[in-house]
Parts: sequence; C-alpha cells; structure tokens
Amino acid sequence: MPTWFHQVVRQCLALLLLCALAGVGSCDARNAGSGKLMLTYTRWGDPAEMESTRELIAQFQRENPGIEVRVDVVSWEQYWQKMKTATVTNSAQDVWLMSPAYIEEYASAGHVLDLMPFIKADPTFNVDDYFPHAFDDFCFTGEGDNLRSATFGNGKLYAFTRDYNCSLLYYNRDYFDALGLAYPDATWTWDDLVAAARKLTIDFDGDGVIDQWGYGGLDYGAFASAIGAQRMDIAARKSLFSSPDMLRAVTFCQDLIYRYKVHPPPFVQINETESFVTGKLAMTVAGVWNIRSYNRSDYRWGIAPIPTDTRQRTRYAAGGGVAHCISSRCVHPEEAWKLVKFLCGDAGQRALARSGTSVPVVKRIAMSDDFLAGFDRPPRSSIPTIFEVLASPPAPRGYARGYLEYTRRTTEILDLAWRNQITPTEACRRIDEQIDAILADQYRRTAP
Amino acid sequence: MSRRSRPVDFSWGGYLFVLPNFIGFLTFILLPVLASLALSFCSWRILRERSPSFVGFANYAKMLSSSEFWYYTYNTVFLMLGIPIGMMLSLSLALLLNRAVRGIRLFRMIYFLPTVTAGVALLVLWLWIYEPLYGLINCTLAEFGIEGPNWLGGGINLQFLQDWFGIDPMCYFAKPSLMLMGLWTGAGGYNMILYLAALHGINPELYEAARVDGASAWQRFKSITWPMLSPTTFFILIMSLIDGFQGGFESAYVMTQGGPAGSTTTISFQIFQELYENDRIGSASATAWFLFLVVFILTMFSWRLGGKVVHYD
Repeated sequence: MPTWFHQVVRQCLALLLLCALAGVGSCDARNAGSGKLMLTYTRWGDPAEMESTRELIAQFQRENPGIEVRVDVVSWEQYWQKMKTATVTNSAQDVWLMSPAYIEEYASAGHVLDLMPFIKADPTFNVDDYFPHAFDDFCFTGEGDNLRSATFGNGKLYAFTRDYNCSLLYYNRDYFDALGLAYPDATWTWDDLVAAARKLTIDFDGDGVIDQWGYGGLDYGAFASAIGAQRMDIAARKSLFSSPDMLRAVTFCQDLIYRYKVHPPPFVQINETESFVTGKLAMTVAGVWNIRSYNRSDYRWGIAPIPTDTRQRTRYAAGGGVAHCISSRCVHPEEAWKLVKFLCGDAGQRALARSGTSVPVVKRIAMSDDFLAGFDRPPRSSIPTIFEVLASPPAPRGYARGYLEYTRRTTEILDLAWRNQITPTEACRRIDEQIDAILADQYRRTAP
Repeated sequence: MSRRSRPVDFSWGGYLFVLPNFIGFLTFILLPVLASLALSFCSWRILRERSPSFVGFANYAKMLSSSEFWYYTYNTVFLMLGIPIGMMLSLSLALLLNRAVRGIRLFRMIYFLPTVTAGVALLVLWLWIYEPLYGLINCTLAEFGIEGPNWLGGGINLQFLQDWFGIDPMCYFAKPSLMLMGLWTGAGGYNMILYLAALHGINPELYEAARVDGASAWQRFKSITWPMLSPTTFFILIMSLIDGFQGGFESAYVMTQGGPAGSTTTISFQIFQELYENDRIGSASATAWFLFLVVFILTMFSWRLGGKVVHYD
C-alpha cells in the first residue's frame, strides 16, 4: 500500500511532463460547443459552501447568458497543492480564491493578473464602499523578486478582496454576571484580562481539578497583532519574533498557563471552540466567523476588542480576508473580471453575509441585516465593536513566501514553549533562526 | 524449417500487444523515475522558476546534514518496531484460524476485513477512536474515572531522559498510537493469509510422527511449525521492512499532518512536504532516491541472505 504514494507522485510528474510536451494550453479547449464562452472557477470550502457557491454561479449565468462557468470546490487541505500543480501545468482556473498568505508567491512569479486596470476602468467602483485597508494585503509595487507590499492605490492589486475578518475576545456573560464582574471593553489591558480570568478560574467541588477556566486559547498572533507587533521585516527578509513586542505576546501566552494559571496547561484536553460553547472556558480569543458556532451555546455571551498590553497603546486590527484572483493564463480576462465583480458584488456579498462564515468586505452589506440577523447571543449594542475593530489600523503584514513551511516550524517550536520546556526568549530565538533560513532560501536570487 | 518458426513473424504482433502496457510504463513510471533522478541534482522552484538549475550533490549534502531528515528517518524506523509484534499477532491469528472449528470461514473473514476496507476510511475511524474528548477509548476510560491522554496530539515530559542521557525529554504519544493502529489493521491482513497458506502446506505426517514420539504442543510448534514457516517469516519480515521504510504517509496525511512537532513525519511524508508544501522539487527527489537506495539494499540483502538463514523444505 505505501508504494501507492510513490506511484501517485510518479504519475503526477509524468502528467506534468506530458502536459509540457504536448503543450496543452488550458484555455484552448474551453470554448464549449454551445457557443458560450467558458470560464472556470475554483475555491476551497466545505459542502455547505459548495452548495451556496453553485447557487451563486447559477445566478451569474442567468445574468450573463453568454458565459458558462464551471465550478470546482476543493477542501482547504488539498486546495494549495491543487493550485500549485494546476498553475505550473498551465491549467489553473480562470478565477480562483486567494489567501493573503500565498498571494506573494503567485504574484511574484507572474501567475495572477493585476486588477488595477479593471478597477480604474470601472466607474461604479468606490473604495469607500469597502472596509479601509481591506485591499492592502493584495497590493504590491515592484516586480518579481522585488515585490514590496503596498497600500491600495499605490502599485498593483493582484486579487479582489471578498471578506474582511478580525479576531475578537469572546466572554461568557453569565459567568461574569455570577461574580458581578464588569464586562470586557475597549479599555481593557492584558492585566485586566488576567485579573478577571483569575476570578473566573474555579474549582467548584474542591477536588483539586479546575472545573472552569478563566481563559483559553494561546492565540499569540492575535495579542501580537493587537499591539501592532511586527513578525517579520519582509524587505530585509528577517524574522522579528525576538523583537520586544512579539516576545511580549509570546511571553504573555506562556504566563497565562504557568504564571497566572488561568489557562489550562497543554495536558488538559480542551478544544477552544467546544470548550467555550460548553462553558468550560469563561473567555477566549477567536475569529469573528466563530459567532455562528458559538450561537449553539446555552450561555449568553458577548464580544470585545482584544486587549492591549498597556492602556496607552494604539489598537491594531488583526484584520484580513480572502480574495479572488484571475489567472494570468486566462484568455477571457474581461469576462473573468465580470465574475470577480459579481462574486464580490451585491449578490455575492449578500450570500456570504447570510452564510455567516465571514464579514462581507462591502461595509453596507456587513452592517445590513443579511449579516447581523444571525447574531443571537451578543447584545446588539456590542455589534459596532466588530466594525470599530475592522476600521482600526491594520497590524503590519506578517506574510512572506514559504508560509506553509515557516508556520509549521513556528508552531512546532511554540509548542515546546507552551509545554514550558523552553523559555519564550529561547523559543523566539529558535523561530528567528528557522524563519531566517527559510526566507533566505525562499528569496534566493532565481535565474530569469 | 517452415516459415512459421521464424521469430520475426509473430514478434511484431507480440510487441503490439505489449505496447499499451509498455507505453504506460514508460510515461508513468520510467520517465518520471529518470526525471526524478535528474531533478535530485537540480534546484527547481516549480512555481516561479521556468527550468531547473544544476546544483550537483547539494540536495543530498543538505539532506544528510539536516537534523530534521535524520529525525524523520528515526521516526520511520521507530514506527517499524511494531513489525515483530505484528508478525507475532499474525502468526497467532493464523494458528488460531488454522483449526477445524465451526464458522472458521466467518472468523477468517472478520479478521481480514480491515485489510479490504479503504485505507482512508480506517484512518478516519481511528481518528475518532483516538479523539481526546469524545473518542471511543477516552470515553470508555472516563467510565472508569480515568482521564485518557490526547493520543495523537499529546505527550509527556520525561525529565530524567534529559538529566541522565541528555536527550530530548519530550515523548509524544502519537508514534505508539500509530503503531497500535498499525497492529490492529495489519495483524489480520495479508501476513495472516500468508501464514495460513504456509500452515496448510506443512505435511501433517510430521505432526503425527511427533505426536507418536510424545512431543508436547510447544515442542511441535518449536521443532516443526516454526522451522517450516521460516521462509514465510523471512519473506514477511523483508516485505514489512520495505513497506515500513515507505510507510507512514497516509496516517500522517490524514491523521496527524506529521505532528506533533514532526514526531510522526516519516520519510515518505517528508518527500510529500518538500514537494507540495515547501516547493523544493530537487530536495524531494533526493530524499526519494535515498529511500530507493535503502529499499534496494534491503532487497539485495534479502536475496543474498535468504538462502542461508531460512530452512527450505
């Protein structure tokens, strides 16, 4: 059975070769006999998203009778392997879903189109309709290996943002009420979080086993982003985990377990999402998209911005979203742009809003009932929190080439810190060392 | 003599029949194998480099000097520690199923079932068995008031390992958990069938003679069954070792993603990661050829040694 894998690898390579030899152009065979113009579209998603995508595409085809769209939905785990293989064999879909973590790899190699010319030619586009900074993750100046991250309007835009999300502090209002504690708000610091979490960490039956934890979720990235910490200096190809702010966020997370004892240690079985729903955790940090799954909880809960380390800090948003890009191999870019516009336009945005999986990037729709109707548990008054956070300045970009490899390494090393085997300083030093090596390899000068 | 005997006559037709298979072999196996050998001496970022560039033995040198690679090799070898246990289980099952009991076919079928079930389905099943909160094992343990470990994600810090031997004190449960799973799926599989077939092949007269001489059941096993099974045992061992070196991909891909902290990343999963995740086609090819070398040596070894250590009837 294990030889199966080798066969697959070999066959893939062979296919690759064959495609190269035969010069199979991806778009040539696409004009179907129906006289319609054929576009292909792919995204990652679960079965529910597959269904809603098909409905959406059906609507697009009704509105554009001359265009036929072939849809392909793949699970996240397989998506990037698929897109890499498709791209290098020149068979990438015309329009596909892009993540900020991968955009640089594809944009620097010229695999995706610059969308600025389309936007400039479009009189209906108004950047103020969208959350500020929503496009920044996909904006770059320069070419090839000299690609530099930019803000919208300066340079090229390689993908059109579809949604814009942030992380929030979720808290169990019933637990706060039971102890008469004040709810978290925008003035909270890490100290306030710890103070409340200490009171909320309770061993009800006195058997020495904590029954309710004050806080759960070692999302060092969310805490780091909230104080605007920079993970890497992308221009200098250097990791900055040992910088004071990054180190502070990692140290804070380790302290939550061992110093303040408000976070379950790694040997305690918790799944943050489930544990918050079932009331094992009084507070947690999670993405705004978790609102729907938390609605399953029997408890009343609320949302607040992620606390900062000191009160004087400007709060940054750990904002980010996914976007649609157009393959540079696409032979019908005008029509592909039409599809992108549709998916990020009114119909697409409302469908996304109703699914509740992400905050639509169009502010008007994010603030409409299409999105907000799904909010059962947090009080209506706390909802502006989401939009305030999304409007705050974005945390420095933390993505470079080699995303999958360096995140894997980072997780492995931090795991040792969460187990208290190495100090946060040592963990950050090791991470810097590893990421620097990966970046040096990734940005090695390539033959033209 | 007659024209018919001339080999040219039907060899063309013969080649024609072989052609489809040959073309398939050529394009899907031979070419890629040769390509991977060439690529193992090159550096090629397929996403952004149009063509590979020659780097000599750099990929091999980097591979052999990287501590991760040796850790993954260690993982692969460690997971193979289950092989002798698995073989013992297969043999025991085969001995049990070699009796004339009512419904023996049913038992044989039941034990063979995991082998014919689709691999990924089994892995997903075990993912649920090992699930820390709601899984079969931990829920059962919870009934007895025991809090089960996180089988695939957890570990234990054995400080004495560091104090006494100066080695990494972190012991993850994932590797033993995967071995346990391998035993369950593997014990009743092809190895059992091979043993069953070999047991059928043993001449019953040997047992009769032994019984007449008053040999006990253990003596009969030790002096007749075990030696008569030695070719099978040797075959199974070598095949298991070869499979073991190539193994671990499915479970890593479906269950652990090679974690925690790379502790279930085997050589084959490493090849996959280098190619599809890290975009280093040269390094992946070099690792694949290292794997080939190991398997090749094992095969050679088994050919050479096979005749000497094994008792052929």
